[in-house]
Amino acid sequence: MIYVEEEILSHPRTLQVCERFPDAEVVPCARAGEVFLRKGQSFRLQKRSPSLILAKKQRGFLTEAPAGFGFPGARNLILSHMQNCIYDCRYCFLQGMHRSAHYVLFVNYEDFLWAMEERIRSAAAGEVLWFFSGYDCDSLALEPVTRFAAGFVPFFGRFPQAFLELRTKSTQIKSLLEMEALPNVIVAFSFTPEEVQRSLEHLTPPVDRRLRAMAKLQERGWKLGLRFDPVIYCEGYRGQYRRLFAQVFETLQSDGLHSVSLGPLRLASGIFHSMERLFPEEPLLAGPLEEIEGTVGYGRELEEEIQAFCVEELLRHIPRELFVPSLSALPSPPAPPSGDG
Amino acid sequence: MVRFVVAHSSEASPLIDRFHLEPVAEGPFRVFRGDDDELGAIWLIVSGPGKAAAAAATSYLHLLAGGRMDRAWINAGVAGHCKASVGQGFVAHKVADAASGAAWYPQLVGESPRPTAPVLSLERVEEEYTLPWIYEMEAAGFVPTAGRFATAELVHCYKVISDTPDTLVSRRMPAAQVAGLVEDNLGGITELARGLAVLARELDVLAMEPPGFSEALERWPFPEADRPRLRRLLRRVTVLVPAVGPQALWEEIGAAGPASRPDDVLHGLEVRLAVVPVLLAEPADGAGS
Repeated sequence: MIYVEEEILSHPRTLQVCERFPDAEVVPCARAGEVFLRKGQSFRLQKRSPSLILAKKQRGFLTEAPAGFGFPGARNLILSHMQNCIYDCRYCFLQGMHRSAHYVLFVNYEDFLWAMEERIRSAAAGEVLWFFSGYDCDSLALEPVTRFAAGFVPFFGRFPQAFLELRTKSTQIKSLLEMEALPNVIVAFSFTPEEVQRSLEHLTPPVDRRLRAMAKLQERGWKLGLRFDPVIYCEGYRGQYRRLFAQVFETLQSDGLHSVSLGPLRLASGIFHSMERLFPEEPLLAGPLEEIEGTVGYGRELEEEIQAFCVEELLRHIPRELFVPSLSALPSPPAPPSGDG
Repeated sequence: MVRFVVAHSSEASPLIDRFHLEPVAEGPFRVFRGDDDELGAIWLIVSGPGKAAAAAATSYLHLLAGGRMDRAWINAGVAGHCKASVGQGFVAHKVADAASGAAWYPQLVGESPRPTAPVLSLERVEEEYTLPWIYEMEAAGFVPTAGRFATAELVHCYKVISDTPDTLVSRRMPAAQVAGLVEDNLGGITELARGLAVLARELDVLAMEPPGFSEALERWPFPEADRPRLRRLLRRVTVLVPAVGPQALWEEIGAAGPASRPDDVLHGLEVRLAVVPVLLAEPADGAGS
């Protein structure tokens, strides 16, 4: 089933996407929100077989990143061409963010690019602009369908003063391998240890496959980021993270890395409680999490212990200047998918 | 687990026979009930024609059947279509109200047992089918009403084509023939019901109180404000220390004595959980790309 907003039924990207699924029933709708935002839906049930919703983003093509997200000193902007993720990571805020598990893909890339160009051209002198994709979805996981990287990355060849981070767990790197590497585009891969990946990151490629994809990109000159975010606590986490770091830095050259970051597990309490209701059987969510001022995470003492251990281990493998403590922040509250609901 | 809403007795009779349903009490609607190994308790109500009747019957059945949320709801019945063959069964993927223009999108989880199609609910019988939609009169009353009692994934419409531009069958056809069309679709309807019952059971389990919760409330005078905390702590115990039953748990946390108070229980549970190692669940199958 592919839901398509009536306004974009004949948009070239709509036709392109629908062509890839010739057997799918196309269901026109007036607005994506009629399907995506309707009350009384079960994210858990829908996640068994999510549908694609093709929509037109009406406004708000770029949003300021929440405080604490992005690179210090830069203007950090979120670029969301899609809402929801094909993966099913039990710690991810997307599990508790939306009522629906369907994927909303905004097909009017041209409007996003226009908004980005305007923003870059109006930047103040000395203002460093970072565009972050992969906040509301995985940047590359649906690349064969969305052609997001193929459509957006070349734009940054025209604007070397602006930067793009693609955030992914995916191995869908064909589009990138078919392009020249750009120095202002970072392909950042997220990792948790294998044991955590197998238990919590449902449907994601295993760690070694992600690393092979990274190595290929590195060979082709792409700048890479490593995001150990969130760091997950469980019995034996020290050994797991020690092995993960060793495995990563055996495969990758640290001199080809742009940045390495660690992020604590932090969830807005409303989102956390939704996740708990959806997955009460999940040990991660039953673990030693505390709610402090509207945020749920490991208690301060435990978080500091985990962070200190992981930083120390990481710095055995990389020079300190590559290390960025955290690029993460709390998620924003749910917003209508097409700007006007 | 399953509730059927049908407009006419002729549409109801094959379902009543198939699931061995018995009449329930007298009232404003004819209601039937039965039990099935796979589907659990099955209820059926004969609403009469039209949106308002379907909505009223759905609400009535919800309350009569105990008011439990997240049961599977199916509106089954005959309908018209411009191109489909008589006897063909469809599951609705969109329901629109011709009068108001409002639309709903029943959420199919997994494969549909039959092809899907949009459904247009009209105020009165239509004989000209200008759109390739299913034309009928109840779905737009049923879907939003059942949607108040169950999540969208559990509310569906199964329509059997009885009328086409060439054969306006249902209005001329004897009731037995209408029943025959529904009977021929019992396989599809049952498959749909079976799939929905599985989903409803999953939600049922999620909605259950954790083991020990009701025992704790009977044993200690927990104020309303502390109950969410108790519920959460007991859920965590169920996940992290699954082998421990309530009685053993009270003993373990030192709250089994007659002098213990709710605060002691909460504190004891927190202390107990603080020393439990977090072991992640067994790996799930499958990897993505």
